[in-house]
Amino acid sequence: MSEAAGGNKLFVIILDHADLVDELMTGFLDLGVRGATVIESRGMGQIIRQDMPIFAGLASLFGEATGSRMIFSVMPVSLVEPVFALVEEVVGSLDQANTAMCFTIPVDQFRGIRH
Amino acid sequence: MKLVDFIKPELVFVFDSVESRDGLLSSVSDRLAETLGGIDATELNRLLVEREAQGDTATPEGLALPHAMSDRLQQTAVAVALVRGGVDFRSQRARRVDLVFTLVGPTDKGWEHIRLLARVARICHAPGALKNLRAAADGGELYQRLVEEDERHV
Repeated sequence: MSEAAGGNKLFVIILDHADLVDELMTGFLDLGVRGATVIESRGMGQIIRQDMPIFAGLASLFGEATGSRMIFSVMPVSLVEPVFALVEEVVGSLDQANTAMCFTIPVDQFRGIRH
Repeated sequence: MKLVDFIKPELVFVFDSVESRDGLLSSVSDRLAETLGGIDATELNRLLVEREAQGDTATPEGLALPHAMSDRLQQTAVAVALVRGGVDFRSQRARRVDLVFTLVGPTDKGWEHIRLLARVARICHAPGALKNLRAAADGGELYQRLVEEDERHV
């Protein structure tokens, strides 16, 4: 296990509203998160609505299809709770549908330069 | 990061009128240099004007965020000025600017500088925040309102 991995988490956000990415990135900087990767993504509901017409009649079961962004960031454990709070401040309560989903994964190894 | 850790009541003021952007930056530089020490006001003003020349820091909301870093500065700080009626900031994005957050700090604390810029951006982006700040009667009240707005955020 590399020394740099000690106490780090991979924080993953699946953001339903792409227009909120800038606000989240500003919050990341404010909190001291120094890097993140943002990927344009499509949820299963969106694929089913757009590409699989056989399921079109049941599309409402999959929620809104607004397009999404996935945000990945490796950060110290101390930043995890502040980032959860930031996400709720930006998107609203995570108990509501069509906002965002977040989870963390332990990072057991980390190599490479972090600026 | 909390804004309150970087602002001082003596660096928050309301101007009834300001003739020009450079006049405002010069006045703010004087006060920053006097309060922070270590750097000459003329040098600080030169750095701020140079930064604006690279691309003005005004926003369409009528804010400006001039900023400068120098080896002579020992600490990061923000001066906040509310200008009644606004001032022409020579910007394509904003016709007039009436809230000016001037950030200065040591060259070796670039990340602190970036975080503080982000903090100010978050505070000003919040619904109702600018209206609240613009309603301040004087520097003391503006300082209090900044502290309140700062507390609203993680």
